[in-house]
Amino acid sequence: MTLAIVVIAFVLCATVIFFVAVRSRRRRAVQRSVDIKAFRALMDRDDENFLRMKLSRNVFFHLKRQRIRVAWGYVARMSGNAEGLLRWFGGARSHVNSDTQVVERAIELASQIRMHCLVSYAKLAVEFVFPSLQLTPTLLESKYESLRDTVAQLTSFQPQNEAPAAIAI
Amino acid sequence: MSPKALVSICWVVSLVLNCGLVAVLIGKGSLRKFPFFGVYAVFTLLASGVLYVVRGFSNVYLYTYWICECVGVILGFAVVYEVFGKLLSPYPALRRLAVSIFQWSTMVLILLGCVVLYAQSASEPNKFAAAVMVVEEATRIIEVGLLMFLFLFSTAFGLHWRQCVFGMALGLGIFVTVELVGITMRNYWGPALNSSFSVVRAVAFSISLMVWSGYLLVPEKETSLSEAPHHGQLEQWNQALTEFIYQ
Repeated sequence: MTLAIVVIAFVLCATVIFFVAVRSRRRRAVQRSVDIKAFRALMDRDDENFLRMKLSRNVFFHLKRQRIRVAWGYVARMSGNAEGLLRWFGGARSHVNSDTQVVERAIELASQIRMHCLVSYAKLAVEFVFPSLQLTPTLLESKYESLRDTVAQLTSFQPQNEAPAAIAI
Repeated sequence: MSPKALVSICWVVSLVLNCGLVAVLIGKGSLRKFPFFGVYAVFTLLASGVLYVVRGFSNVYLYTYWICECVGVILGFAVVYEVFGKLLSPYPALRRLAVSIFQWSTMVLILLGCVVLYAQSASEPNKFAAAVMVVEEATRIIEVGLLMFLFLFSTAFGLHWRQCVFGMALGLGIFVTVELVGITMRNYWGPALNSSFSVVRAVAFSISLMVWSGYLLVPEKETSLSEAPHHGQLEQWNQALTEFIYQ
């Protein structure tokens, strides 16, 4: 009977995943801006160490959790924008009228950002639970900037209305 | 209505829908684009037809049914492989990562399948059928797991599904999931559940056939980023966030 229960649990997981996939396919990608400077400031360890020294333990933990909430929002935006670009490139690749290498570089960067975002979510969650830890990755913003430059390069090949993504990111 | 009549009705409905799917595949020239799926659709149509004809001869039916199941499972794996290839074709950068995760997932699922093979004992009087059912349960677990992996991976990376490829994966997912539940239940409760299992299976297969045909027939939406917000809107969001950070 245990095996049957395991199989049923497995099937339930599959059903939830199929349902989420159908829903996420219907969801429309919305490009949202990300202030890289602000994000960098938020992730700055020197800043954090300064706050740790100046504030009491409880106040620091409270503040750090607030910073993590905001950082989470930024990561979500980066992740959403990268997802939007991946979908757009996946759907419109055949009629994107520009340099293939640039398109491929943009896809590669967007997928790297997406992966880094998944890791960042996990690390931010751990830091939220244990604010004394410092796990937040520092690579993300440089990757994101690189993607922004690549997409900007890409849009310079396009008519204005075909790739408005660069404006947003 | 007797269970036998209900099974017959469901069978005829799925045969008609299967004919429709094959017609759509031929009509839209999708057989060349999706060769494994095309073979799968044609095979299921032929298998259903042959099984319908031989349903009166229990021994012939039994062996034909289980042989068709084995071929169907193998073709199902081929369809999953085809979906995987089509999904990742626009993303060469992700292909290496996806292939390695796919291989690991397959290994874990095969291990899970082996556990099922070892632990499961089918309550089926016919030894051939009992063995095939246990193997089928194990392979259906692998099939459902691989489809789960595909959906999880595409959701995690936000990959673009082409309409028909998504339909293929979803339809197969619905059918194999119901099949897995059915076969697990039947392994426990034995042949007493045969009629109910046949009806549920036929209904699930009909739903999958409708999903496949529907996704093939509905025209794909043009990809556009027209939903992108205005520049002014973006400035406002930025300002609000910056204020929130420095408050």
